[in-house]
Amino acid sequence: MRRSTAVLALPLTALVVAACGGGAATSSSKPAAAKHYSVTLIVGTTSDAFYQTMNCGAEAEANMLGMSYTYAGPSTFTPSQQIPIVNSVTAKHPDAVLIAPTSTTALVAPMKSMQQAGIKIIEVDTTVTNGVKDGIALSSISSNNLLGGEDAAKELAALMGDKGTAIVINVDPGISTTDARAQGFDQEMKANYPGITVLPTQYDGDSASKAESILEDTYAAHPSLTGVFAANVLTAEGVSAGITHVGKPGVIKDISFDAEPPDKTALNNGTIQAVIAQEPALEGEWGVIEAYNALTGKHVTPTIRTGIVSITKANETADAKYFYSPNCVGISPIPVTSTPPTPSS
Amino acid sequence: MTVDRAAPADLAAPAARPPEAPRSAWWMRVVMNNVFWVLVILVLISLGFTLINGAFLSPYNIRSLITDNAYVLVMAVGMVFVLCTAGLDLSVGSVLVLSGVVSAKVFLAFGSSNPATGADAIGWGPVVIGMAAGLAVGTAFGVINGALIAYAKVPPFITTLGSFGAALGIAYLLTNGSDLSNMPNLLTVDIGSGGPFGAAEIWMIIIVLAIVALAAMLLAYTRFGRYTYAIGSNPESARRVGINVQRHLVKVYGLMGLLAAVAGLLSLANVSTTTISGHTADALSVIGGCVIGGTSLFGGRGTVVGAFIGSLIPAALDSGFVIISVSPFWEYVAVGIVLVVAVYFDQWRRRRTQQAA
Repeated sequence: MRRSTAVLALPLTALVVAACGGGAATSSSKPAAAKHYSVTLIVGTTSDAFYQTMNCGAEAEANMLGMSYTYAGPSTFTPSQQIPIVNSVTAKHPDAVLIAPTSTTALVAPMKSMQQAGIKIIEVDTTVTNGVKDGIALSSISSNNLLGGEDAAKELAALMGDKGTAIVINVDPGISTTDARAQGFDQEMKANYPGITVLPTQYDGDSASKAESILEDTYAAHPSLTGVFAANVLTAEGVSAGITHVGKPGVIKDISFDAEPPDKTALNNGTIQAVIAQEPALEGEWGVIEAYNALTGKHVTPTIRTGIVSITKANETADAKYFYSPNCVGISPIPVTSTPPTPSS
Repeated sequence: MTVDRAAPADLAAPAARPPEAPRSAWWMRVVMNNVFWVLVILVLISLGFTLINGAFLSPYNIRSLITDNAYVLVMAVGMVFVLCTAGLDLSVGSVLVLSGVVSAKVFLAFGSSNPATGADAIGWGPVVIGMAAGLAVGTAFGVINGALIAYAKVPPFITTLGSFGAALGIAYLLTNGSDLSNMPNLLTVDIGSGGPFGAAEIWMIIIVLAIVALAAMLLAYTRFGRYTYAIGSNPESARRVGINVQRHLVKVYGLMGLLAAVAGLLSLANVSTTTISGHTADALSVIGGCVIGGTSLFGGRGTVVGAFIGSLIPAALDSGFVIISVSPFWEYVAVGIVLVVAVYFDQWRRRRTQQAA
């Protein structure tokens, strides 16, 4: 009933359209801010400080914009656990979803169903293949992982003195972010540091204990090992534990992607020489802003690249704010009017 | 159903039945029926979620509940048989992964050399061959489990813990740790999600329900089922009445392996990739579903329909908590509580039934 009064207040043309088209025409003519939007973040795994920090950022931003916010994700980083959650969220039908797909291929079908149900999708961190290009997602927000991998290679090569044996310990193939990190690392090593032998990449399935045993076994097989690139949070945990167990902290140089709070200690006691920090809170914040833009009919930036910072013992105090904050300490929303960082910048 | 013609089937029958309730009105028998109570719990949970958010009982969510959990439901069907023999199979998740990997390997071998398309476009012939290869591997693992348990007398816990590791290890070796994707469209689109959005995923549901119906009849109405109950109730008396206990155990574990392989194919059809690292906890959730559904861990008691409904309860809780936006960590707590409460209630009710008798 209230809706029909709104229709009467409109100019005659709009009235005709509304009368023919039913409720659809009225909603677009209402002031956008009046509607209470809902947004859900679906992360890759709830047990990872990176995603927990992203949750903090997204929640802070959603609160600022007056959107209702919910958070979901599997306990293990795997499509078989994430897909049921995605389908439940589709059934629940929030206005927008931020999602970190756990596979470039397996999540295509459930995300397509979600998009066809009329939910605005923003990819955060990871992507599905051609997610934005095929119109499944409206925007993709991620660190420049390729660049992060290259940075890691440069740092590691300098620490190793441009010689010796190194290995990449990665999560699983078929994840857009970690694939790009490994690619950047390999590219940079091949192009500029011929003196370093890079062993074939090993995969730990996002398990710290598996990463630890891979490190120990690799060291047993290659005692000349002096460099490791650990491609994400849980991998890094396992690798630094492994380096301690084989008694080689400081000898095996360790560069870890992601900056968990415990990494501060690891930097200090020398089991890690450098961490490559992303900005997960900012990814969550931009995700919510782009979702809001999509819902309110504003311009949506299709690709956003948040920053990458490499932290060593030397700049650890100055860059302390880049360590992840799974308890939301020190995370505040960014203004909606900020300019999104795009790939060229 | 069985080649064991010499065995006097009817002698095994009395052992199969749970202690008889006194003959009473039909509604008393319904109320005393375990499956009825599991169904009541499922309905109450569903109604609770639906009251908070109506999306829970939307056709989309009901369909997703069954298709996303198809692999658990199918393995629960097999697990009922195993548990009824007083056995256990911890290897199901790894057997699912391994047989899925074997099928995927065969599909890809028939597919194009371009990794971007893989086995997308292969026809029914190669698809059937790949499926058969996966089913054969799953069944073989089940038969090996059964043989070790029945003839070598290795306890089921140890045997299947061993094959849990072995099957997963072989899957890793075959794939070098990386998931295989680009599965045939015939499997992922035609079977997995066939039809446009809104009318999709009916095949998966039909397959699951058909397997449940066939297995329910196999367990309840055939000699194979009666032997299964008899062995679990009392293996010694089963042997004395002439049942070939060892051979029957091999068949039961073989059936479990076959159904784990079917689950692997359903998983491939649903998610179109092999999810190697995603099934290490499957055995526990499958056994949990069976137990919620009234299957006894000590053998001799359990129904397929009960296990089916029992397995839907954790699935409904998972989905429901997402829909009513409760922290994802609570679902573990809730599933744990439901498991213990369901078993306690079941025990209490059985005691009352026995006292009444």
